[in-house]
Amino acid sequence: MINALSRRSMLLAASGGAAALTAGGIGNAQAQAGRPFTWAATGGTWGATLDRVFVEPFARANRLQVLHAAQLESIATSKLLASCGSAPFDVTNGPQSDADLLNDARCLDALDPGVVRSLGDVYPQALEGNFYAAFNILLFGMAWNTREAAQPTSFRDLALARYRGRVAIPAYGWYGMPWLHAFNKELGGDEDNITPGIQAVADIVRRNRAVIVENADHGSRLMESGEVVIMPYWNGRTARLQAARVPAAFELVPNTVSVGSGFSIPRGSPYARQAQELVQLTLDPARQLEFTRWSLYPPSNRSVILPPELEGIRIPPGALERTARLDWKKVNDHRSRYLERWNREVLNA
Amino acid sequence: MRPTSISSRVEGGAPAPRPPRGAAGDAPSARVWLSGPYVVLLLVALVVPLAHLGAISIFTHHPRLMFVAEPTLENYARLLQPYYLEVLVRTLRIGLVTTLCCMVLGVPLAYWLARCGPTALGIGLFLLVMPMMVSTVVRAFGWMIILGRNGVINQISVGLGFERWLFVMNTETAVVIALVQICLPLLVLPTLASIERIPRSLEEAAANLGASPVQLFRRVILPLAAPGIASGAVLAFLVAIGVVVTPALMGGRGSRMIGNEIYDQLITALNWPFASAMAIALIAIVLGAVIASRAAAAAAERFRREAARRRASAGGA
Repeated sequence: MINALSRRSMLLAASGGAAALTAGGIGNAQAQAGRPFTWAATGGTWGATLDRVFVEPFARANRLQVLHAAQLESIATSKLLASCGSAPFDVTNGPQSDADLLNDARCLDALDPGVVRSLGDVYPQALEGNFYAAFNILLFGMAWNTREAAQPTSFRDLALARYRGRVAIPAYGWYGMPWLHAFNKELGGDEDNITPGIQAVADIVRRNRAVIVENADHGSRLMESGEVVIMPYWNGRTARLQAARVPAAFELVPNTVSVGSGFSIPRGSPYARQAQELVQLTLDPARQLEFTRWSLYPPSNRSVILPPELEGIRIPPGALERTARLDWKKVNDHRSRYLERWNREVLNA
Repeated sequence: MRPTSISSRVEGGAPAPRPPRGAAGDAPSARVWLSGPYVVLLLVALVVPLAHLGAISIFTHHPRLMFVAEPTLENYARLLQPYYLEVLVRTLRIGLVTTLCCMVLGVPLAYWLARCGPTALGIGLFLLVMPMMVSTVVRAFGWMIILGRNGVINQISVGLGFERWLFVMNTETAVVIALVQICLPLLVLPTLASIERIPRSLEEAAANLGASPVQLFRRVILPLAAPGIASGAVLAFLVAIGVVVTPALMGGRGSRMIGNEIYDQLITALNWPFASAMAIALIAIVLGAVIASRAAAAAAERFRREAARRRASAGGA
């Protein structure tokens, strides 16, 4: 009955509610932020596993409401650039290149070693400045069909005539951009001179009728169906193909691209402290091992001891040193121009 | 025979009577107030963002800040490169072919729907509109299952002892097929509404005067339904030239449309000024198409009136 509510009882109810919210742990930050703790990451099984392994335990420990802003990493990056300093997300999951771009635009907070205590345990290749720490190692080398192709020694094997019509290359907007730079380095180019790489990739497309892989699932389907027998692809994804009894193997060829997947913290987040804690949780050995069991990507924390069944995905000693050294700053500087050349010269080849 | 609207035929009701002119709601001040919220929405949701887009399109790209407010025409000059002109021509070609296919399939369908009974109309409209409730991604995947190299058609062919013969996926033809399915309802609905307004007595009179079905359709139905067909065609064309997902999933590397280029520059390259310039160019094309269609409709109407006037004066003489 509305008439039975007095001003006093309303005030009492409101203050009681506020007290309950605070005591219940929804907390000051949440009330001040006016929105739940928001984490941006791609959706699908990747996002669901990030949620299960990292975000849910973090939310429970911090008594936070969390919201998954599911979107492609590149879309989250462009949104963060467009709203630098008042980001719609509190952490964003992505590769080094995007984190580097955001950091250059002063859109990221530095990691606080006082909270992110495991930085020293992480492979140096999984770190980027003081603003990014990947929780696993993603290697973009060569995947090959063990029945129909020979063990590759280089990305140049994509041009071999015997693979005509059965090769694939990544789309520029997927991981084609870093792969192009890595392949270009093998051919004598560098970040400022992409011509050798572009010409070689155009040649592969023209002569060997390479399929353009739009995303990781697309790549897996091509390998499963046997439509493609050799292509640049992920170590973890290839391991999952093997687990599904697809005759596939991964080769860490020279200039394999080494990236990671990690969370970075946009500047101006109302949950700055909690975001640091989430990053620390992603570097926790037990959590990383759990994620690795699902993704089959090696953990970035060197102290993680892989169980016998995961021995096959261990990074061989010295392997990371053979991966391509990319200057992400320059790679980002040339994004637009090289995309145009890719579209014009590779896709029109 | 009194013409009835789609809704009245489906629901069995009578057409709503027009309010008398000069009523309170017809006063100019009331009309201004009634259109006020829409004008505000138009300003906030269309004019201001478009102005912003136009401003960004003449700013200079910066790899890390996306753009800096230094005016340049380089973004528009870049559009004149052969590659982008080729993409533009391809986009317009796909849009035109899609629209023509929609007209060939859609006008007879609209005529049939306009002249069928209420039950058939209800079912027909449901079947026509239902695919619009499914996302374009899902529809594209459906086509991939049907048209793919290992798709249903080729599997049936192999099952019957023949070779695989359908290799249409990853081509411009596949893009057009998927776009026709997306755009067909957009052409059929206005055409249907237009044909419904044509009194059946005109068709009966033409038939009594010896017109064959083809002559009846060409000389009576088509001219009178032309405004609806034109509206539908413009809608179908505009949707067809602005798509992103369909060419990405159905087209090959050589079937990229301007929407794909805008998406890539915006999301992959983070070159917002160039993406904005492309978007402005696309909007200019869209506006041009709308203006051209209105001019064509006005010219056709003038021609029709002139012909009617000549016939009337010839009859009088």
